[in-house]
Amino acid sequence: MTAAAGAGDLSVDIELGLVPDRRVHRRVAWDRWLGRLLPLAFVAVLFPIIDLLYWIGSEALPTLSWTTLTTNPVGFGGGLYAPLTGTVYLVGIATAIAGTLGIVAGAYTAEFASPRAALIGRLLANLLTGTPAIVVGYFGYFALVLYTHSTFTLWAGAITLSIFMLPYVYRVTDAAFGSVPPSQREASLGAGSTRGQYLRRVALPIAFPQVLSGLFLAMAIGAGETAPLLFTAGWSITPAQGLSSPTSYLSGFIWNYFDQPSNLGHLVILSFQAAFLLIVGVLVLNVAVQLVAERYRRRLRGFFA
Amino acid sequence: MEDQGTRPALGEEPPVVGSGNAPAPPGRVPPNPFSRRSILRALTSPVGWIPGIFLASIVVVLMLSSHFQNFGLGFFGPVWNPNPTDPSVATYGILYFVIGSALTAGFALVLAMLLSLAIAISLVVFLPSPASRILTSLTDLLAGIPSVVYGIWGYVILAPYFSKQLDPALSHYLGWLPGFAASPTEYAGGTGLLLAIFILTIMVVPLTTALLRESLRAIPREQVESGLALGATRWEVLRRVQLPWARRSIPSAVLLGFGRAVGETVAVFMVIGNEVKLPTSLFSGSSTMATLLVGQFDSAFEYPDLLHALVEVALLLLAISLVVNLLGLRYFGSGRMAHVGAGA
Amino acid sequence: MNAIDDRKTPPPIDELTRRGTSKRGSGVSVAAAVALAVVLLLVGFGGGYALEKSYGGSTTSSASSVAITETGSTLIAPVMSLWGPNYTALHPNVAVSVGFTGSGTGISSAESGTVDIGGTDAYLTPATAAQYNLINVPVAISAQLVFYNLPGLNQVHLNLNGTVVAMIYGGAITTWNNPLIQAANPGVKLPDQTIIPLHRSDGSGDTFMFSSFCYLSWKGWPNGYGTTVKWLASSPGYNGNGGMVSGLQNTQYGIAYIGISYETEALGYGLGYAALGDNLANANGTNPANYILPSATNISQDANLGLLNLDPPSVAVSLILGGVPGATNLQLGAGGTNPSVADPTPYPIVNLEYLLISTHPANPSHQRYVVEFIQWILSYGNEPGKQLSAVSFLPLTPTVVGYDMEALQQVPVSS
Repeated sequence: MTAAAGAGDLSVDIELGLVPDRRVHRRVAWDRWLGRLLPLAFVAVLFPIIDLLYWIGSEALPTLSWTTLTTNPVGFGGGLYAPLTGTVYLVGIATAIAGTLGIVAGAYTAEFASPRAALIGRLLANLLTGTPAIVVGYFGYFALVLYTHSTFTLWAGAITLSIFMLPYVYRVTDAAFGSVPPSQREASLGAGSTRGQYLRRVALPIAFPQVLSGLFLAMAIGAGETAPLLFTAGWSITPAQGLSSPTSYLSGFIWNYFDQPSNLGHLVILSFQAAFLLIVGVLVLNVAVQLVAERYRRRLRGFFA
Repeated sequence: MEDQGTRPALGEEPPVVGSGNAPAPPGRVPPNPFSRRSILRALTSPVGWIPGIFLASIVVVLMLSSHFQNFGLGFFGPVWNPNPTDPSVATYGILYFVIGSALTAGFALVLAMLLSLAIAISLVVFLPSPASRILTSLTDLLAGIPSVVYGIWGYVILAPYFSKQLDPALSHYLGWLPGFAASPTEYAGGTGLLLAIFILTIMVVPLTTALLRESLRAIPREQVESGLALGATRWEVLRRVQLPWARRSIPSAVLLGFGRAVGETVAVFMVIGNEVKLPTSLFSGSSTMATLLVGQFDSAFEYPDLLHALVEVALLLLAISLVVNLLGLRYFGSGRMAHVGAGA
Repeated sequence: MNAIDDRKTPPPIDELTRRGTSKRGSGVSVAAAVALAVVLLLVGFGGGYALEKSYGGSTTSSASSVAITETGSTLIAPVMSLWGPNYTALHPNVAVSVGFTGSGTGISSAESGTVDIGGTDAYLTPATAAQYNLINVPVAISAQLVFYNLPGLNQVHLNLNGTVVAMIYGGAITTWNNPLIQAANPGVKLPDQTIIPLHRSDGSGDTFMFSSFCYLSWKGWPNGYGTTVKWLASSPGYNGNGGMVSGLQNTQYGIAYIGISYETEALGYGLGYAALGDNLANANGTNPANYILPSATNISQDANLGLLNLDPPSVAVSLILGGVPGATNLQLGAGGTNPSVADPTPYPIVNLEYLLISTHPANPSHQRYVVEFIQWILSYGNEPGKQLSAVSFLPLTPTVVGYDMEALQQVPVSS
């Protein structure tokens, strides 16, 4: 931020003797020390994370091979094909649901809803984001498994996951459409275009990158979640046989096997590899979010980035 | 709340064209109910409520599923004994789970706030722009690491380390502090409150950092620059200008962070030990409401009362998160949450 | 400075972000985002499709028409995950999905008929089974070991009977050199140290078996039995068998009940396990002949005895203490009576792992595949030293297999 440059100038002035005041020296020294001390908090947070990533990498990578990705788990060995595809299916379906509903709802809130309705809509979406994952999981179990007299199924898992992902898409879409410059909106509407035309031709192109980043964000969150799936998607070591069969998924693989006897060595390694794949997948999605957001931010804020 | 929550981008516009929400002012051409706009609006009117509808159905379904079973005052008591040989004396008291939730989330929040205040201030005030941008992205990325990965890391790597190195050392050197005195039995497995608090802290920091960072950044540049131009140091501007501006966001970050921490399930379950008892030290095993929900779900099939009790715990947990989030959003307007991104 | 103090509410962030908007750069970022999305979709779905085509064939070939669903016990699930794919390798048209959901879920899913097979560590009582048209099919024998961490004594198999173990967990015996323990272990120098009893903090079948053992062995047992029971405040709890092993490893003078699947792991940490007393040892605890090691023979012997003692014969039986009087009533009226056991050789904490299947299947032609799969488990799946040994389960005895095959006759199947 520009503050850094500003203070730098001041200290230069002091060093040049232009501000010959002991108090100023003390103030500046204090300032400089803070500038060195506070960033140490990063170390406190980043060090454990680096340890985590290093550990997962060193456990998972040496034996990670193409075969791991293309074979099914068998007993205490095999690969991660079924959980990998299961996560892809779950997140794919959930993104389709949450994406459609979230974008429509978000665009509506930004464009059509009365201020009061928009306020409440946003508030409720944020509250839904704050709902504990395990509570969403309980809801999914009752609404989609127990009351439908069904068993744990891929679709129950995907719908439950989509409830969890929806508010993220909604929120970002709402903000994206809301950030269309009023000048452009007035120009478009003033020139006689309908609301629909405005949304399609003017608002969408501007909002699109942000909406897309919202989708990526929701996908990353969905892929990493475990709690909403435990009581809805069930578990299976084989790839899902269809929408109404239980499925395996990467986070569930770690969850289910973390307490198995450690003498079943390969199983433990597979869990670490599942964790590795999850991290890589989620980070790639998050980096995509950041890339889009970064471009967007730079474009919109200039110096504020 | 209204002034912040309403999307100001539109709310501050003249309502004629810009607001997009206000009905056509009186005296103009009355809206044609069959115009494309009216139809579109009628068709889409419920869609803005979709998140709300989901939230409401979660509440309704859980309430129905609890069968409104009344466990009496004992529900908030200390005895959780769902499955004695004589089911008629079963007791469902959730006090220890509430205590576990409060301790883990509370301590994690204190630590996370300290760390994220330092981080947010460094990012906004002290670090040069490129470093700040990279580290901002990095803290946001941390929010993406899945809960179950933190859990297995805590269980496989940290628990043995805590049990053999950290816990004995802490107990030995800090034993005079309340909460640190413990017998070796308490930290034998390494799992327990301290490990759960550690993991939760790391998991909450990205959220609280993002909230604080955004509120510090929301301060008009002119205010900061004029302060600097008057000869104030960065710290003085921070203390006199930026922190007072961001002051209202701090309780909000605390509340939203607490909401996140109290609902965290999977990672905490893997590292907290899940003991049902009053913790005697920071190293004690403990349980939270969320870990109770995941840990005893399967046993609930044998005893219908247990299932109802669990659902009521889920409702209580939901109520707590709703209240906490509501209060948090009271200060940190809903409209700004989208900028917080993955953390929230 | 006054001007600064004279602040008003900070403007919302949207106000700031709108500043300086232009369309410049949006094309680049749209293109980047679209490219990323396309890459992701290609990698995800396209890759998945390609893999399904080229590799999925062995498990989910196009001929795969039968999907058998199992869910339930997390103890059975690992060996089930071995049986399923091995069976599929022989019968490519049958795929078996295995769920790690817990016995309670296994039972309830089988009762509601939403899965083909419910896996459980505890049997359904004949009455409940009849109500839901289910049968109990034991598929393996499991057992539980009592481990301890006694420096210097871990290579010795201490003699502990049920009464002593229950008194330790019930708080009536607090030190290792208690006269009751010493009497059964002549010549062993027991330390004058407080015993630390470890318990499972999660709801589990292991706790059910162990608390049943205590309940049957000591009249003073205060806590009843079940998957979740109340423990002494001084007893540390651990999550899962793995947690018990690592907890005990770091708890000197501790004692813990641990499923046989974790025997190898616990031994790897140098922990010792006890020779447990049979039902006669509870009355007269000093005769070494009444203390049984958890050897394969002794465990199988218990499984046989439990069955032989039951009249009419049924696989729905508690095997705790080899079916002492009262043991069958323990699990809510299993029916029949137990003559007292004359021959005291069985290991006392043994259970059968059950699969529950329907006798009134909605689709008998589908049920044929389920029955064939279970028959395969009972024969090839139970070969000694093969698939079962991975989790240290023991093969069924011929007696139990005989009952199973008979029971499977009740299931109507059609081709």
